[in-house]
Amino acid sequence: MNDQLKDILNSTSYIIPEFWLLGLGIFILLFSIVTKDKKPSLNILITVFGFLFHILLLNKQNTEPINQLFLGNISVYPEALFFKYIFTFAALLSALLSLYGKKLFGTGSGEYLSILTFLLLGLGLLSMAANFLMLYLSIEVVSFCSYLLTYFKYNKHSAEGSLKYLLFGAFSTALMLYGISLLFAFTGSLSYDALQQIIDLEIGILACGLIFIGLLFKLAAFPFQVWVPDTYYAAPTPFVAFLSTAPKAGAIFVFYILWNKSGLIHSIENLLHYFVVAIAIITIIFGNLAALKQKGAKRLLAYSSIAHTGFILMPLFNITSGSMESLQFYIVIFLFMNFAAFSWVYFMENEFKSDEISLMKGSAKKQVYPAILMLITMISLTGLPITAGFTAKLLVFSTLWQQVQIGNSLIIILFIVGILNVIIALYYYLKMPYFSFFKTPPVTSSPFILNRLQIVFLTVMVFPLLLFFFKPDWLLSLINELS
Amino acid sequence: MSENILSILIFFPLLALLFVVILPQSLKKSYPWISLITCTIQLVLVCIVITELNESSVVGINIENEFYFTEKYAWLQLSIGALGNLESNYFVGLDGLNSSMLLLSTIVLFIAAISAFEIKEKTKGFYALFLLLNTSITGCFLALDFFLFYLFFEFMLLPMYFLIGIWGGNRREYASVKFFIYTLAGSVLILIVMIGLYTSVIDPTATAVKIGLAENIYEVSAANKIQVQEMLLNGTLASENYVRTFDMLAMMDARNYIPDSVFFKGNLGAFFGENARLVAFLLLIIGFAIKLPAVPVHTWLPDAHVEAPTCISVVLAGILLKIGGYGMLRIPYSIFPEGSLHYAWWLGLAGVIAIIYAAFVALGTHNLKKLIAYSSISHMGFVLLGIASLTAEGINGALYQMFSHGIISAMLFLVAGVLYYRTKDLTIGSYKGISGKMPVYTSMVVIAFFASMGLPGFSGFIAELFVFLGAFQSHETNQLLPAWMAISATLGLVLGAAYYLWTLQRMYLGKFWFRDNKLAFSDLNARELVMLVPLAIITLILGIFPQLLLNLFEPSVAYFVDFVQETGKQNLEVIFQVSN
Repeated sequence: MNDQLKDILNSTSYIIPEFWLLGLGIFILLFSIVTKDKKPSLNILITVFGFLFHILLLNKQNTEPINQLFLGNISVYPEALFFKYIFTFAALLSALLSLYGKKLFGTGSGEYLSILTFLLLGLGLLSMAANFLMLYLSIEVVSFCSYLLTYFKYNKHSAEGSLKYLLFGAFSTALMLYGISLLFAFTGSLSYDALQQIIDLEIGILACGLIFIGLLFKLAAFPFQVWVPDTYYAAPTPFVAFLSTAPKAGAIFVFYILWNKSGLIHSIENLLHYFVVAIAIITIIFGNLAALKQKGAKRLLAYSSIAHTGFILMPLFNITSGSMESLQFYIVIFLFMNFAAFSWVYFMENEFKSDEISLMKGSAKKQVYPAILMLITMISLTGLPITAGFTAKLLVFSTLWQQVQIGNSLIIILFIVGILNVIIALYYYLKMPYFSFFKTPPVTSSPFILNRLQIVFLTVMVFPLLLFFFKPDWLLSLINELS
Repeated sequence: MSENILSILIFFPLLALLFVVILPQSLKKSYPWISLITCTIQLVLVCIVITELNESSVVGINIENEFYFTEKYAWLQLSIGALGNLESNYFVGLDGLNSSMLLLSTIVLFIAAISAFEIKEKTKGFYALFLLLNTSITGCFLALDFFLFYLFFEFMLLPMYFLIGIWGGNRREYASVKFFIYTLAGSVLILIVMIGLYTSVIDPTATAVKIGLAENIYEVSAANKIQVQEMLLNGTLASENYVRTFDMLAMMDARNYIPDSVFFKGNLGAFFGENARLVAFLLLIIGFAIKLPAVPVHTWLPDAHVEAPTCISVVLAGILLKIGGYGMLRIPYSIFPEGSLHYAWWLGLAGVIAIIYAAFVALGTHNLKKLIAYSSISHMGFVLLGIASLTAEGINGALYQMFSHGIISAMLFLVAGVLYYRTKDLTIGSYKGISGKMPVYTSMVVIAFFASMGLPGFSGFIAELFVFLGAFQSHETNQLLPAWMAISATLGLVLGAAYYLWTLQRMYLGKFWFRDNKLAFSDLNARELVMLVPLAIITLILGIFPQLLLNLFEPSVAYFVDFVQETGKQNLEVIFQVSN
């Protein structure tokens, strides 16, 4: 008992940033109750500074890999720190973005921001989980916060989206829990390392497969993507930008850890290996084909982010584990692209109360600079030069190429599908620039004009997309420094 | 200055672009002048460069020291876990293959800049995009690093998409999207091979520095490089010391391939039953054939040409198509020479089909611009046939044809543009006897048509003559193309004469008649003459003194043909030994 207490006390120093988030979340909640939520912008500013301080704390955190903290519940993985920066950065941007549209916010900015903080806390714990119990709990924290935040527009659509998300989410976590209990029944352990013992057995494949389903749900891979379009459509857009990047990054990180610990990375003959490759292939095709027909910008971007999941999965299949950097590169660029795209949509929503792409008609004629920023974002999402979206895809494909060389036929298909889908993707990513540049603005309605602050925000999001094309080594060395 | 002249050529338009963007709308009269001055300066610089080249015999192709005005700076140097180190250099240079193309592109861009004075709407955007296009075209012809080449190659599409989509004709939106997606499909195929290539090839110079044989890349001797290449072959070079590269010249040397990589020539690595190197050759050829365009991947071209504004049609036909032909020579032929022997028959067939099929379609069209577009496809078939023959005559002819067609098609589209500018109608059946109202114009049309037909005395004749010589000789010397291909290609000439003469008769001869008789027909103005007369003079001079142009690329082509045939044969033997 005494030893356990000592262990807990010693471990505390490793999760100071998480403690800070917990305190911050409670503080924002109390503060907004005391001030009766009169000044949403003040709440946002407090949150933003809180997140900045969190980044400072992360900077001070010890990154020596340690396996057993809190009685074997928490580990410090060397790569996790990078992902925590990504989570915090995404949350920070999301909070900042909320500043721009108070009207869409409704009431309850305090609750909104504190739930966002707890969500961030959940993601932080997710990246430190050392066993499946901790993993399950942190996934549930993330999920429940997400269900709640989806409802924050308080209308019929958001109720529907939120409920759909909840039902599908509950289903997938139940499957995951079933996988975990199977694992426990056969090995008597909940630790990640237990996977390796049974991964070659049929029951192990089943258990591990069920656990993967829980993660694939968070990643929005086909066929666990059903919730995505409705949820993205219903949720407040700043939160959607966060939802489409940070939880995805968290899930892929856990996937990466499990993939390594279970030994699946080396056993390419394993059924599960084929399963995940097949899912990546179908996800890319499905996401792209479904996006073709969309008329709403948010749904289009939702399907686009589904397609990107397939690309994010690609680095897993590299046999010589060194693909982490290309994954991290992709995630950073994906973050900037998605925030740029969703903030553009958000600004449009503020203006028109709708996300229909045709409303962008002729916006370039009124204001050409923001339209160019949007064009760069879309080109980057497609993956064409001269944007970092191209570099990110190039790196991911290059890591995959080593498997292609060996002649692994399923991987070859994934490679070819991934590359050819760029052509399909171009068609729908061009939709927004098409309306904006080629169509004439309507005479009746007021034109869509962004204010200076909004343009600054977009510029800050788009600039890295150009910079890291010409200087990818800067981003790579930054990634190496952070992890 | 002279050591950076190529970079100045590439990036000068970007500087001009900055001016166009900064200058306020009230000074919009200056935009066309800025672009014209830029193109003039480029033309003057290129003329200086070309005269210097003409006095020396350039070889280039795969020997770095033989290139002229080379510039090589380190650009990307990444080191990523499993991939190790990779580098891409800013590497440009001139040899026989691209010097004539550079000359052509500056001439055509100059003419297009004059033609662009017609554009009256949204001039700021137009000139900004036009200058951006200028940079990427020039860069694409000069790049000797695959990554740099690909960057310019793909970046060309975006300005073109907007130039067609905003300033084009009635169906401009459809045409621009079709153009973008079609050509992107081609470049994606090239991208696949690019990824495979750079993961297979090391740069011996940079690797020598990496393992400590020399202090920096300038001190690496030839012996060091050979040492590195031997170590690579023996397997004594540790994989973390590989410096993978996008350098095209390194890719042309079989000794730089990592032994177990998929493009190593002794490797069994096969894609769906075919040798990986042959598959790569095919992918690249298809990628460039879309740009060329070859039948059956040509359907984007008539749409794009018909809808684009005149000056953009001129650039499209005059320059962009040539990148397809030039790219074939520079990349698949030089890097995978065995494919050029293995697939020569099929390439020749594609050329012949394009020549005849497109000529037949041209015979049946009712739109003048569409007719010119299909005649372009037919003429690019000659380029494909010449390249496929892999004889010195054939490839000289192909390069000559690209230059000559660039000039002639620019002229043809300008001629069509003159009419469109006055009447907004290009239907052949709407006109009769234009010669009565516009005699000077008609004489220009006659020159353009006759030149395009390949009449002796014009540059097209020389080009097609060389291609036929090459195609016939191929039957005797290297047995790549059967004689019937050359014979049936002559049918294209007959058909060419038919559709041009018929059009001439229907539109320009006889008594004047026009569907909408309220419009006034005025003859060529000074600006139009300034564009058309120099082009007519160039095609005439090149028809009479072919040596002027041939001197530029003859030595390179002679070396190129030997190099491709020899290494191609060696590689083919290895491939078939391995697969037996």
